Amino acid sequence: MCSEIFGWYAYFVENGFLYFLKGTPFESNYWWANIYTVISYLFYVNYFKWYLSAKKSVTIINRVSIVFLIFSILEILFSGDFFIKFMPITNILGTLFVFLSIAFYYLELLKSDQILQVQKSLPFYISVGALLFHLCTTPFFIYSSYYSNTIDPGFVNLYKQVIFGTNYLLYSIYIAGFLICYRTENPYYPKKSF
Amino acid sequence: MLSDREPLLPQEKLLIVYFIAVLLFFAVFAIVFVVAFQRRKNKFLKERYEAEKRYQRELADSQIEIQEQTLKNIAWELHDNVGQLLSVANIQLNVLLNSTPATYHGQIQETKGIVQESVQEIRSLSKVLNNDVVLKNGLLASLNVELDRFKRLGYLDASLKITGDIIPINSASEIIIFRILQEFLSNVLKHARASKLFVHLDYKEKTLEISANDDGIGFDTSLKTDSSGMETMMSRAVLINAEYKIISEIGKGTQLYLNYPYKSTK
Repeated sequence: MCSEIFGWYAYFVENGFLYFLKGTPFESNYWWANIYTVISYLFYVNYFKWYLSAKKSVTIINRVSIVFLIFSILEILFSGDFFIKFMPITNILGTLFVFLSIAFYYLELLKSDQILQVQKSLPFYISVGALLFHLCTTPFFIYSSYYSNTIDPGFVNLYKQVIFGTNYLLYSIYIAGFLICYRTENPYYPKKSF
Repeated sequence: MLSDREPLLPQEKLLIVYFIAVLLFFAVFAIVFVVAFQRRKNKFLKERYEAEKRYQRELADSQIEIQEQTLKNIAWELHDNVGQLLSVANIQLNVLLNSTPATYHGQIQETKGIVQESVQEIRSLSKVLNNDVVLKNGLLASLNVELDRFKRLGYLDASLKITGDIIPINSASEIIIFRILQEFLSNVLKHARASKLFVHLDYKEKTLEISANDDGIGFDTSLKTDSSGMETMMSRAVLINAEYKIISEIGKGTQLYLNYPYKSTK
């Protein structure tokens, strides 16, 4: 959804009503995507935080959230990447951070009886999708400045394929999760039924 | 063409850092996960083991309870039913005594004596069978009643010796100890063909040591028997955390040894 808006944004700048932005730093949609990325990572992390009951991991996640936010703001302000490409440090830290929160979630899952009904819990599907997607795409975001047909058409091709592939995978897993959990009474904390 | 001489691009450095970080995370997570899994598995196994133990204990408890209930019922029946019938028989004999010629009086008196003795026997038997009465009288008094009963039967000479300061035992354990001894005594009576029986209760500082000896024919402890008596005694001893031993040899009598700690966990 968001990426679609980004796509249209670039299109409108090129030959639409946003033509006046041409030549300014707002020409390409990276600035928008970068803000979106920060929010997206924070969203994922806080989503998994909901399912954590251990106070220790919740405080760790809260603290790391603040550190992550500070780092990304610093990168926006000082790195100079904000308008020209995806911010690599934000992406790397964000991915690791999502990984961390999912790891906490899995450990908690392991310690509780929910693990017996894991195939019926929606957050589990979300976690699998998010983990795969973020781990696979981050290397490409680091190289996002090479995403240009004039520099390396082969890279552009690979980039497109991987991003499309991971997106298909991500949303297939989400859809499967939604469908499977559709009939579960409480998909967020499935009860053991034995 | 790539050359080794050129410095790495910043992206390349970041990529390396990224991969190292991801791999590190994966490794740490895998280790933590395995440890957590193991811990949970062990906890689960322990819980299952404890549940099993608890179940066994409850089973033994309920067995004992059923037995006690049965014994109590028998005691009531003996006391209220058979005892009353014998009393009626006694009264009838009294009536008979007055209406028959004097030549039969001797015999009738004798019969009356036997009937009275039977009433007495049944009273004392019902006393030791009913655990409420055992509880009320305490271990020592009940044991005395039981041994007196044996003496009266005339088969064997039973004696009880108590050493040390008498320490009160919790009543549930008292019943169980008494039942173990009762089982042993009835076995002595039934199988041992003994003429002497000696029971010794030694109240020590932390434990109550009970030993009971007879001079009967003995038996081979390695042989398995059909009777459940031995197993019942054993499981009862386990129930009160007591140390339990039966020593016997053919021709050398039988010895029961029971060591009950006052502070059992139950």
